[in-house]
Amino acid sequence: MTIAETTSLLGQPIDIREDEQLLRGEATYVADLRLPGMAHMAILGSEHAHARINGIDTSAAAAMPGVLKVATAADFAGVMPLPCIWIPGGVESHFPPHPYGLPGSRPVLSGDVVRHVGDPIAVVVAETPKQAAAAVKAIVVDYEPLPVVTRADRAIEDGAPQLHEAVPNNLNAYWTCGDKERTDRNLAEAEVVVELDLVNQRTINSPMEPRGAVGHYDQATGDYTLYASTQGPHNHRFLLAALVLGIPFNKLRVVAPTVGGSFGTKGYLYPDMPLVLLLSKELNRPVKWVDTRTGLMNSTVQGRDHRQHVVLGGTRDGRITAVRCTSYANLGAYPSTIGPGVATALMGRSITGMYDVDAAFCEVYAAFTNTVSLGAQRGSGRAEAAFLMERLVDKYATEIGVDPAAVRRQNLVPATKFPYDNGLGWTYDSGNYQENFEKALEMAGYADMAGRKAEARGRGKRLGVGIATYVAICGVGPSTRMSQEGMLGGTWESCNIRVHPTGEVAVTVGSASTGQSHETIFAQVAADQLGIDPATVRVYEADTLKAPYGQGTYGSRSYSMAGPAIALTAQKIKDKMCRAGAAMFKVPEDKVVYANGKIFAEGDEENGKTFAEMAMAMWYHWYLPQDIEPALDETTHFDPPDFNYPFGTHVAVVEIDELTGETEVVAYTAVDDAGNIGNPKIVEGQIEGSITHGLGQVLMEAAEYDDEGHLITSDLRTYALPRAADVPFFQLGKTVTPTPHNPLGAKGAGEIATVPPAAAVANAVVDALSDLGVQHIDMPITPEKVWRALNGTSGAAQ
Amino acid sequence: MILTDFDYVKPGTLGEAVALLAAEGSRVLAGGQSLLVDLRTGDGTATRLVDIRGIAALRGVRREGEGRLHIGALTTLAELAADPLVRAGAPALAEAARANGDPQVRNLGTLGGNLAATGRATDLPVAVIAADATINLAGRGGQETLTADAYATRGLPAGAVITSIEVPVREHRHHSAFEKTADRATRYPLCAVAVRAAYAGDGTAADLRIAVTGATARVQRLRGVEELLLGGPTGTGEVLAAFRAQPRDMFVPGRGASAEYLGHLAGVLTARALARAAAR
Amino acid sequence: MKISLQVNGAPADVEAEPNELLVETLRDGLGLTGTKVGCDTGQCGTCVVQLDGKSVKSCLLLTAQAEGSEVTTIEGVGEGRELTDLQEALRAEHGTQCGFCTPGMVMSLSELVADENAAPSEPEIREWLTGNLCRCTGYHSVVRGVQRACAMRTADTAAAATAAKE
Ligand SMILES: Cc1cc2nc3c(=O)[nH]c(=O)nc-3n(C[C@H](O)[C@H](O)[C@H](O)COP(=O)(O)OP(=O)(O)OC[C@H]3O[C@@H](n4cnc5c(N)ncnc54)[C@H](O)[C@@H]3O)c2cc1C
Ligand code: FES
Ligand code: FES
Repeated sequence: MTIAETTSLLGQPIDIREDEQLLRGEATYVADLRLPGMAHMAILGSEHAHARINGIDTSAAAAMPGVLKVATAADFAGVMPLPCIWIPGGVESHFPPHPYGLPGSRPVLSGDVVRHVGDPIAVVVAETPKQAAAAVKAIVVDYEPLPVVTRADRAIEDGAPQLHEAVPNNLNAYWTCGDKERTDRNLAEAEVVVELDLVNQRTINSPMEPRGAVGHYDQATGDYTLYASTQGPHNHRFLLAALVLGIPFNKLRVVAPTVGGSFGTKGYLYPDMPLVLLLSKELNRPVKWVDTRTGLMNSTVQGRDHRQHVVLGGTRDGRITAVRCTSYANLGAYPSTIGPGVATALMGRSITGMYDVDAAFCEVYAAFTNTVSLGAQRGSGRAEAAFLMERLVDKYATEIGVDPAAVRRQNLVPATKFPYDNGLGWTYDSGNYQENFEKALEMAGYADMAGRKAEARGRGKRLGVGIATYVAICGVGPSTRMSQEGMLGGTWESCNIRVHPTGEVAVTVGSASTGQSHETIFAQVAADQLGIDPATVRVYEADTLKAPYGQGTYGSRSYSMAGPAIALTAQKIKDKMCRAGAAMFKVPEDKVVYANGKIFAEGDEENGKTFAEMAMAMWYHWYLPQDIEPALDETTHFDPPDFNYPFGTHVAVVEIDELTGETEVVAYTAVDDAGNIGNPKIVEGQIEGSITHGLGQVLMEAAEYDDEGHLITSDLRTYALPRAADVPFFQLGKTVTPTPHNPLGAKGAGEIATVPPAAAVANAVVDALSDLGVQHIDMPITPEKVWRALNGTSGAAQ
Repeated sequence: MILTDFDYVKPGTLGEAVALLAAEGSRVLAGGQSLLVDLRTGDGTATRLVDIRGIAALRGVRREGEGRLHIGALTTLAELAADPLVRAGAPALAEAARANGDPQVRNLGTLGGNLAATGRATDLPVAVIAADATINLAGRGGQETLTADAYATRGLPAGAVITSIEVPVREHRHHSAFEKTADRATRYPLCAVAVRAAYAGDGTAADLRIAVTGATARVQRLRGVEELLLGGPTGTGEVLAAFRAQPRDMFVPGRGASAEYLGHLAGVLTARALARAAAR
Repeated sequence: MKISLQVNGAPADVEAEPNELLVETLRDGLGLTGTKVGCDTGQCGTCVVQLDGKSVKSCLLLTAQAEGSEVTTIEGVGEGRELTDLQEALRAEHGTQCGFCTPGMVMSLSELVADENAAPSEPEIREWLTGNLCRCTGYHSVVRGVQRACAMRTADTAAAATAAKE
C-alpha cells in the first residue's frame, strides 16, 4: 500500500467556520440556555477573608417571593469536598483532607470557617435570577472575624494566621528543582553576580464571559447533565462523579456549550458545578447559575502571584554560569484543581529559558493565604519564569557593559545540542534559537535603535527597547511524565473518526474550544490527512456523551495533542480503505494507492474509487472479505513520548513621556516558533491576543487585596484590561522547528506569546531610563512609578 | 440586574418634573450612564426615577443674543462633541465631551447628568467652570441661575434640575482647551483640566481661568495658580512651578496615584492646555 | 408596566418592571440572547445594541426608557441572515475568537461605519472601541476588519464609478 502525500491543506489560512455563527450572535453560551422549568441559583459569598461562622439565619431569605430553596453547608454533609489533582511533584505536601485520602481542596459550601472573601456559604434557588439574588442578600451570617494573611511570604512566617488544620504554617509544599550545590558554587565563584527582588503580581484572567452552570437531573432515568462553561468536560465528569458526588460515572454527562474565553480559568472544578446538580435533583427542576463580573473576580481562579529573589552569576565576558530563584507562591485559600503544580513545576523548571546555563536551582514555597484560589493564567508559570530570567539577563548585561542582545546571543542553547536537558527537569525537543533570535532582532530593526532614541528625545519622549526570549513547555502531555510532576491523572488525548456512508466525516475529540476555532482546525487536519474537502468534515467535542475521552483544552495542548490523535485516526481509516481497496481491485495491498481522497490500484487511477464511493462500499460491505469489518469508524488515544517546547523572541519598543511617565508601546515584534502550524490565521490570532494579554500584565493589570483581604479590584472599574487603543499593530514572524514528539510536528501555540511580553516591555522601560541608573520597576509599570524613576524619587503610590 | 424597586415616571414638562422630584427618594434620570450603574451595584438608591428626557425645553443648542450659547441639559455628550456651534464657540467643552472615550456612553450621557453626577470626577465640570458658564436650574423655588464659580465652590443645590447652561462664546481674545489623563480602567478622568486664557501682545497671560478635577478633592478653579501665572509667560516650566507653589494639601491621592503625582500631572495637563489655547 | 417598542423592525409590547434593564427584556423576555452580559458596571460592551440607530449599552438603559424607540440587536442586523459587509470583513479577518464580545462589537462598529463613506483612521477605530473589551483577539483582527470593510466599499464605489463612466 502506498500512501502518497495527499493535499497540503495544513498550513493554509483557511476561513474560520465558527466565525459566521459568532458574528451573527447565534452561538449558545451557558447563560443563553433555557430549559423548561428552569430555576435560578444565586450564591452567597463570604464578606470576610477569614472568619468563623457562628450561625446563619436563612429564614428571611426563605420567605422571600419565588424562593424554592435556601441551602447551607449542613444541607450537603454527605457531599465530598472538591479534590486537587496537580500537586507539587516529588516532595512532601500538605492539603485539606478528602475522604479518599486524596489531596482535598474545598467543600461545596463552607460551613465553620470561611477563608477568602467570596468563599461560598449559602445558596438560594428561586424562580427568577432576580429573586434568587434578592434573597441571597437577606441571609444573615454571624461572622467571627479571624486574622488575615494575603501574602505567601508572610503566610509561612511563625505566628501567621492558620488557614487549614492539616497544613502547618500554611505551607502546601517546599519544592525544588535543579542542582543547588553546583548553583551555589558557581554563584560563589562567579565574577559577576546580579540580583533582583521581583513581584510577579497577581492577575485576573478576565474572560469576557463569566462562568456559569446549569444542572439538570432527570428523575425518570436518574441521569445528571451538567452544562458548564468548561475547558475540560471529561475531566469534570470524572472528578465530579467519582470524587465529589460519588455517583456512577454512567450517570453524569458534562456538556460545554460555546465558551466565551477562558485563558486558564475554566478547567477547574468549582462549587457551583456540584451545587446545580444536587439542587436540580432535590427540586426536580433544572437549576441555572450565571456568575456576575464581581462574582467572577472573587471566585474564579487568579493567576501569577510569585514574590521572588533571583540571582544570576556569570563571567565578565558574558557567559552565564548560574541562575537561582527563591519564590513564594501564593496558592490562595484553597488549592485549585491544578494550582499547586502550576505554581511549582511550570515555573521552576522553566527559569533558564533559551539559555545554556551550567547550573540552575529553583525553590518554591507554595503557601495558602486568604485570597481567591490561584490557577493558571495564559502562559502560567512560564511567563513568571521568562520574566525573572529576562530581567536578570538585562541587569547582567548592564553590569558588564555589554549589549543585552550580545549577552543573549552568547548564551543561547546551540542548535546542535538538541534534545537539550536544561538541568531543571525539561528536555527541550528541538529548536534553532539562533535563527529565531536573529530574525526577531532584524525584523525589529534592533541595530538602528540609537537613531530612533535620539529622534524621540527631540519630541520629549524616551525610547527604550527590550528583548525577551522564552521556551514554553507545552503539549501536556505524556501521562507518566506528568505523574512524576504530581499530576493525579492521565493527560493523553483522543479522537474518533466516523465516515458516514455518504462520505462525510464526523471527527470527535476530547478537547473543548474556548475560542480557538477547533472545528476549523480539526476539520482541516482530518481533511488534509484524508485528502477530502474540509466542508464535508464535522467536528464534535466538548460533550462527554458525543466525544471520546480527552483532557480538554489547556496549556496550548489542543493542536499538538488532539491534532496528532486525528492524524493517527485518519491513518487508520486510510489503512482500512486500502485493505478494502486491495480486495476490490484484486491487487496486493502494497499496490493500492491512496491519494487526494481517491483509492486506486497502482497505474489505474481511472478505475479507482472516490473517498465517498469507498465509504458507501464499506457501509454496504458487499463482497468484502470477512476480516475487514464493515464501515469506517476508528479511534485513537494519543499519549506523546514527551512534551513539546515552543520558543520565541519578542522585541518591544516603548516611548516614555518625560513629563508624565506614561509608557506607550510603539512597536512590538514577535517571532514565535510553534513547530508546524496548521492554520496560520488561527495561530496569528492567538499570538496577537496573547501578546495583548501580556502587555496587560506589565502595564496595567493587578489584583489588589487590602489588609483585611478584600479584593479592591473587584470589577472592571477597578481592574484595568487592555483596550484597542492601548496596543499598536504587532509585527509577527515565525520560525518553524517541528517537534519529533508528534506526527504533525506541531508545538503549542495558544498561550506561548503571553510568556515574554511582560519581560520585553519591562526591559524596554528600564532601557529607556538606564542613563538614570534605573535597574528595575515593578509591574504594573504605571505612569507614577516611571515618573518617580525619572525623578529619582522612590516612595510608593498610595 | 437592579435589585432596588422604584417607580418610573416620565413627565412632559419641567413643572411636572419639579413637582415629582419633591418626594423623598425621587431622582432625576437623564442618560442613566451614572445613575443606573449606581443602582446596579447598590451604590445608589432611589424610590422614584423621574425621566426628564421627554421634556422638550431641556433640549437644543442655540445662540443666545450676542456672545452666548445656550445648551440644553439633555444635550448628549455625542451631540456636544459634534455640535459646530459648541466646537467653534466653546472648544474646551466639545473636547471635554469627546474625552469620554466610550461612544455608547456619549450617545446616552447628557450635559446635565455629567455636571450633576457625584461620586466620581467627570469631564464636563472643568470645561464649564473654565468657560465661566452659568448654569440654569429649576427647583421648587422656581428658576435659578448659578455662576460657574458658585458651582465650583458650592456644587448644585439639592433637588434642583439643571435645565441648561449659558456659555460666553469665545471672544476673540479668549481661547480655551481641555486636557485629560484617563484612568486606565474606567476612562473617567484620573485628572482633567480646562483652561481659558487671553494673551497680551507679548505673549503673557492677560486673563486666565483654570479648573481641575480628579487631582483635587472636588472639581475646582485654581485661583492660586492663575494668580502666579497672570501677567507672565505660561510655558511648561512656569506652570509646573506655579503648581509646585500650591499648598501641599491641595491635591489628594486617588485611583492608585499619589497626591504628589496627581498635582504634578495637573500641572503638566494645564501647561499642555495653555499651549494649545495659545496656539488657537 | 407595559412598554411598546420596535425590536428589529417589528413591534414588541412587553411587560416590564420599572427596574428592568433593556438587556434583560431582550434576553429573558424576547429570547434575543445574541446580546450578552459581561459585567455589572458598564465597561465591557458585550451588551451593545442600537437605539434609534445609535449604539448604546443595553445594560445601562431601562426598558421603560426605550418606550417608543427602535431597538436593533445583533439578530436584526443585515438582510435576513446575510452578513453585512462589516460582518463579512470581520469574518475575513477572523475578527472574533470566542465570540462573546462579538455581537457588541458588531453593534458598536456598525454605527462607526454607518455612513457609506466612512473611512475612520486606525486611531479612530481604536478609540471607538473604548467601550468594547475583548480578551481574545487583542483587537488587531477587529481593527483590520473595520479597515477592510471600508476599503471594500471604496473599491465598490470605485468600481461602480468606473462602470458608470464606461
Ligand atoms: C463606561 C462608562 C464610562 C464613562 N466614562 C466617563 C468619562 O470618561 N468621563 C466622564 O465625565 N464621565 C464618564 N462616564 C459617565 C457619563 O459620562 C455620565 O454618566 C454622564 O455624563 C452622566 O450623564 P447621564 O445623563 O447619564 O446622567 P444620569 O446617570 O442619568 O444621572 C447622573 C446623576 O445626575 C443627576 N441628573 C441627571 N440629569 C440631571 C439634571 N438635568 N439636573 C439635575 N440632576 C441631574 C441624576 O439624578 C444622577 O444623580 C462614563 C460612564 C460609563 C458607564
Ligand atoms: S454588560 Fe458590560 S457594558 Fe453592558
Ligand atoms: S473574541 Fe473572545 S472576547 Fe472578543
